[in-house]
Amino acid sequence: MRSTNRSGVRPFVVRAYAWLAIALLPRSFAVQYRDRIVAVFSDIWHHALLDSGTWRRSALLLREFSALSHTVLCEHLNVLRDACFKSPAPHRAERGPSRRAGWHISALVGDLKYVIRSLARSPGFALVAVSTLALGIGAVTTIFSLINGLLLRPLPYADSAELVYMWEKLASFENASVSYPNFLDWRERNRVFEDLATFNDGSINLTGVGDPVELDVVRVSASMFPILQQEPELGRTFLPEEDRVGGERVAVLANGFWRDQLGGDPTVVGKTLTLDGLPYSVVGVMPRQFVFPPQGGHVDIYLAVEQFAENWIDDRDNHPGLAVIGRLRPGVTLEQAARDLERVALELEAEYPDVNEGSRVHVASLHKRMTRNFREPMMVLLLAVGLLLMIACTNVANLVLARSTARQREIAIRSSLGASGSRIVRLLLTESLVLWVVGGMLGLGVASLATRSLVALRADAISPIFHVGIDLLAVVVTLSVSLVTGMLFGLMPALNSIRLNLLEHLKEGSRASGGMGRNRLRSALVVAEVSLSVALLVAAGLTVRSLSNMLGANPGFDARNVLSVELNLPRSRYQAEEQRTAFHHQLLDRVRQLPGVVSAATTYVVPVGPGGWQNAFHVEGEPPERDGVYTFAEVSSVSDGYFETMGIPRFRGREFARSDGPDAPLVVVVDEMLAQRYWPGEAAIGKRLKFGDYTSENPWMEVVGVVGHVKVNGVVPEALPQFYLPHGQDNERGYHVMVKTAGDPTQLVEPIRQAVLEVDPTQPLAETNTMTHYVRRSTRDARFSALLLGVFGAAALLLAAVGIYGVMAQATAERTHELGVRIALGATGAAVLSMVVRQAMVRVALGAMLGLTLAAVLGRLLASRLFGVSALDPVTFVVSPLLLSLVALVASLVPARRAMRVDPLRALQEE
Amino acid sequence: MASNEAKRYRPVSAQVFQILLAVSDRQLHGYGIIRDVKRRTGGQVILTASTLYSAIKRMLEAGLMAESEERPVPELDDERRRYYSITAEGLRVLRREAEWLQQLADMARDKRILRPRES
Repeated sequence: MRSTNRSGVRPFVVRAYAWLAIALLPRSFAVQYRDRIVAVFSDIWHHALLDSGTWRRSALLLREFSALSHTVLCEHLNVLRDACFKSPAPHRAERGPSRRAGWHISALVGDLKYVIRSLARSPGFALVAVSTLALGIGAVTTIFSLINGLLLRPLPYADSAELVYMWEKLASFENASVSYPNFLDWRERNRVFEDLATFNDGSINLTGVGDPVELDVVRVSASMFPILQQEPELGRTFLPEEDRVGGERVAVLANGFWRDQLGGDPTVVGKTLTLDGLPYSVVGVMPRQFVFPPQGGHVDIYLAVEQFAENWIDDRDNHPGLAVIGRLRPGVTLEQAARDLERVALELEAEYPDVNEGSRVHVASLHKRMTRNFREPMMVLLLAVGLLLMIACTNVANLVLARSTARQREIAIRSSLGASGSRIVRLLLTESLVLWVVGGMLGLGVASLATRSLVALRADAISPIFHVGIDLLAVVVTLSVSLVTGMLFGLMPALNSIRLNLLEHLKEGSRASGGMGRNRLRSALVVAEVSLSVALLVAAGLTVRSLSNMLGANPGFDARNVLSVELNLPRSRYQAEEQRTAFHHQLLDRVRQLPGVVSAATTYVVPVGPGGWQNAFHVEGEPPERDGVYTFAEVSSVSDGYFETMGIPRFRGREFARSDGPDAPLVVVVDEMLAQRYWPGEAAIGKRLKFGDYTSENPWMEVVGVVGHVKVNGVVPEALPQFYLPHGQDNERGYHVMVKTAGDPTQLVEPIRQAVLEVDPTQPLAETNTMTHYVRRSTRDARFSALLLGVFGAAALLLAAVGIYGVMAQATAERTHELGVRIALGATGAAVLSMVVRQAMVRVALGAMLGLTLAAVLGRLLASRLFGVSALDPVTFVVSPLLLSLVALVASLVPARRAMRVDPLRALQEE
Repeated sequence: MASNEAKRYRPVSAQVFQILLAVSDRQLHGYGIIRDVKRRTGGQVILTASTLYSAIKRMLEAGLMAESEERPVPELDDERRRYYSITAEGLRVLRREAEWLQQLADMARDKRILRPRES
């Protein structure tokens, strides 16, 4: 099941063409000729791929797709005509082919010329129509390009469809990283994969090349590169014997690090780098386009994973952030793989019931895993731009309709001079198609700009494995969208125009109002437009309200003027706890002395920032856990002064002190959520809890304080309770120094770096950021959605206003005569005004009601992403239609005021 | 019959003329016709897939072309392809059109728009 590429059986372009041909050509024609047309198009496309550049190919596509739409149109008209004036076949053969065979080929050029002349005569109309369509089609193309780049294109690994991503499911933790012994057993016992590899990431300190710096490292199995089928640019990748505890220390460099830090040294292979104080020899350099891990992020260096496994190689209960990637054997499906790993997991559960109870394997295609966060929002956005496009199309259909009404006399004259109904329909339809195709071309330009700015806006969230941009597929989709919507929306006014009694029309003169059918169609278009706009406005309103709730929510700490500086002490020099404690105390003492520092502390986890630690725990006196389902909490280890520095309120008991060291009694501080849950109405101080479940042998820890709850993962609906350990009793090598400052916190980065170097001259700083940055980053998804939907909502409102104005102006102009008579008979200006406005508002009200129904459906899709606002939020559901009605009212007032001022004498004279 | 005769003399379109020319001396499949026309006209007349078959349909209905029963030798054949050849009627229309074009050219020559033909 190798994936097919450019030379594959049927390229997308051909499939799109075939699909359009099937969908649009009349049956009688399609049955006989569709396959032949597609076969010839396929030949043309195949040859174009071999010997044409992108521009010529695009021109070819434009020609073929336009010709297809023209053929579709002509063949439908032929069917229509044959149905009306069916003549016996022999006679037709006798009549000769020349005219009919010719007209639909040469007629395209003639029709186009006519249409372009006629549009040039009314540039205002053409400009409004084309720019409206450019906006609508551009929005669709933009979102489609995102979807194409993120969801449709294969990942940049060889035969990426065979790559599978795996992680663990624990009884009490839906998504857990993989324990190393389990990985080894999966690899050993499965029957469906060519091979498996695991990886996790971390950091390591580089010394000896300029200032000490911290490098981003990804630790991989030696089998990872062969699985990805990726050769290095220089040297080699890891050997299996290097991927062992105590194996030879070797490193493979990422291309960026090699170029930027080592100047692209071509003789780098064989040289030695000092990482965490230990020598590593460079064995290879990866190519520039190689992206790993697939989720992106900065990587400097790849190391062999098992060399870091001494603490977890035998510990099945330890899940050190590992994920697993495998390549399926040929012919094996994902379902078979999932079943096989289920079997392996059951075996392991039977063999290690104490640690593997309930442990299973999550299996997903690598592509699906990497795109899981995009799918839902992309569908919502696609729906939103779809609505916007419908609004734009409705608007232009309205304009075309209004124009065809105004051109009624021209059309009547043409048809009295012998132009057939079908020819007039064809002209009008060609006009629509020209508008749509030109709108589509401009839309491509709009999309190209918009796509680039959207990607720039989300550069941090889009992994470099995705290439988002306008490509040939986007061009084809845009053209198809333009042609299909052009056909649908162009056909309405065109067919409408020949339903009129033309003779009647000539007699009536300019008084013609277009008849009932036309008015009904126009009303329907207004109703449709209003309902679509209301739906889009509601969606935008919900998202914006959700965002404002998010921004207004109290995160539980005070982010102002707090700096976070990450430090990772190397294993080689900080093996002993006393070394780490000494460093910690000296550093904090120095930082607290710095001018401008209000207070300073350390923490393992930065709220809404980097780091995370969730652990099972058991409260003394609670019933035993059953079926391997544990109770989890967010845990962090913090130094003295942490709650003060972060502005986390302390309710009862005490903070940690330096005296809470390794030899002192074990203590914890819990948050109010935990205290409330386990000891409601009781004093929490003095109660005890421990890590693990009720059977665990971990020591009890005594609660000494209760603090406020902190939203560590941002504002998500379900949060875990929290507890804190004193740094002195859980002394990690990596932590964050948090510094509360009097002024701008970024001014303190350099002084803190100096303080660190004074304590240890080889210790670099890792990630440095302000807390406000982390808070902002935690709401970026919401801000992004709100921005996009807000823009779409505003565009919808604008388009709806223009559309309603256009329709009402046209309707009023057509009724000048009638209004003149009414005024002559004594109707007051106010009565005329209210009559015109009322007519508009009845349609708006109907549209708004339909729109609210549509919005309820849309809201359901959004529901999971809304914070603090219901999907049926009454405020949004009332304000949005009101806002739109207000705009509609203003839009209809302008023509209504014009109606009020109709001079009855002139109106009657004009006849 | 006079009116029918008159209708037959109507000029055929450039594309129909070119398609008839393409199949006038051999049978060709759809893509072959497109290539032949493009080559002979130096890219002046480019047929698209859909206009080609729209025209072919009309020309088959009018009896100017026929779908060929014979197929090339198997090693040159492609099963999904249909081959077309000109009919007697098609040849007559083509010849008449060519003569008409020649008459037009002669008229232009008489008025010295074109240089006289060298004999």
